[in-house]
Amino acid sequence: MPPIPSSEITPEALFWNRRRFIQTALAGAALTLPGCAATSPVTTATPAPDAPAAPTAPAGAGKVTGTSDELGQPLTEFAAVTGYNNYYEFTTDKQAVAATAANFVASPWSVQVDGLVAKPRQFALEDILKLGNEERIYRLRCVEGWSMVIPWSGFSLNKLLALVEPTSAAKYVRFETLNDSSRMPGQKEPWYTWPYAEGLRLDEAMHDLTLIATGVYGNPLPAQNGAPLRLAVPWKYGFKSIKAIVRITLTDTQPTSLWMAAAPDEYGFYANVNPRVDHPRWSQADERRIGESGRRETLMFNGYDKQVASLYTGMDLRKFY
Amino acid sequence: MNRLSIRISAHLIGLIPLLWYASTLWRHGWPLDPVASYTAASGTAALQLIVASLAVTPLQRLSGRSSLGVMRRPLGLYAFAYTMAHLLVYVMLDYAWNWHQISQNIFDKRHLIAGLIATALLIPLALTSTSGWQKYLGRWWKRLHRIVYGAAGLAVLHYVWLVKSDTRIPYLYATIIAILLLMRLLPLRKVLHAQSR
Repeated sequence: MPPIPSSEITPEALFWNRRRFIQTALAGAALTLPGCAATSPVTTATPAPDAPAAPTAPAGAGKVTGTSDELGQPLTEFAAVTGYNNYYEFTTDKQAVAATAANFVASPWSVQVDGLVAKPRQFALEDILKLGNEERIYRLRCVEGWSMVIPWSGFSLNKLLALVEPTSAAKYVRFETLNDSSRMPGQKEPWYTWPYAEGLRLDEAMHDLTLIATGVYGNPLPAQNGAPLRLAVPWKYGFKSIKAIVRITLTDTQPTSLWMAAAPDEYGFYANVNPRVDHPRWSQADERRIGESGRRETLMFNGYDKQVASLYTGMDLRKFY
Repeated sequence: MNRLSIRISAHLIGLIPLLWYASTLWRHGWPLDPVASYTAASGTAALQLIVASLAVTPLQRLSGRSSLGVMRRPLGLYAFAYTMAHLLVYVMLDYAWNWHQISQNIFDKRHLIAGLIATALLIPLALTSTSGWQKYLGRWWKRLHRIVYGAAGLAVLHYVWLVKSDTRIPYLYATIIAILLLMRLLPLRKVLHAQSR
């Protein structure tokens, strides 16, 4: 098939905007017809099992094999995944991150892996990319109460950690984002303590689900999603999945994340998705899936309880939030 | 300015948030999380119109133009309309009429309780906003409508309590409302006249 000139392809954003406009118009019609709400498709919280899945390869996206997660929940639209981002290093306006980050240059890039390890090492991005590129469809649940289903690609973090050989003294892993306000203008904002930092317990970091994502929707990670590499820890709130990582440090003390420092009573170290432990100020019992109307019930450990619940046996998750 | 142009300007002020939102859609395209966008826009608009309606009395006093008083009713009704839009977005679009989910949230979270009470307080004010009610209630009308101070305080509290971390903008609204209320207590005109003499 001859390649289609890019000038003839409807820009992804425009295409979905039209669809969304129609959906919203329908939703608006429901406003005047509250009695019809129960039968209106736009107000159905959970799509019927036979509802059409999101398209697998919209314009702009690369090749993605799966169409849904393991629970049958369809992928969130490519436009939303790459156009609706919480990334304060660029801007707090989620829908403006992509434009603000458009000129971000993520190469050359290297990641320092150090601390309590036998073989500390500076990895060039090229070497990290060789560690694997498998597709993983994960749910992402933001602490703000919205969620997506995202086809990441990358490899389990434990592959990288194995290369540096953590010592027996290592108990935690600390991650740090690039600290360069000339490239990340949001870091000029003095309200937060930069650079963004996050942490995992070593056993959480070694869990197979804990992913270093280097791509999304079959493409290399775009800047707004955390180029060139980020964490994806699907059973924790999204803010744990730190972006644009430059340093990974094995330590024996629990790292303090940016959000723990900003509001210690609201954001804990664990930040496991838990519908029974509310944020001090808002409920975590339900979530809005981007692209849907109505709310889904939030699942324990974001639906990954079978895989990860054993990590927290005997822990009071209300105390270790 | 005559009464008509004052009335028209009140309507223009009331429509600014709506026009601004339309221009945002025009410039940035349709929101990817429309519900969050409608919620934020309608809530902000409601708070801004409450502030605008509270600004009328100090403006009257500062300018010496009592005719500005006709702005109060339309501005208040726009505030009420944006508040109702805000509530409808929450109930209809965010929660899709799922009363089970709404009820397990609403009485549990202080920002929702504050918002709900603020909304409830505005209802009798909107209902009694007509000249007929104003005459019927006489001096009680003014007393009743002082409820708006409580609604304004609760609305700004609702905002302070819901933001993720950065409380600067909600506190800015709180400060503006506090100043507007303080200006009612101070004998501003006397002070200004004393200075001009």
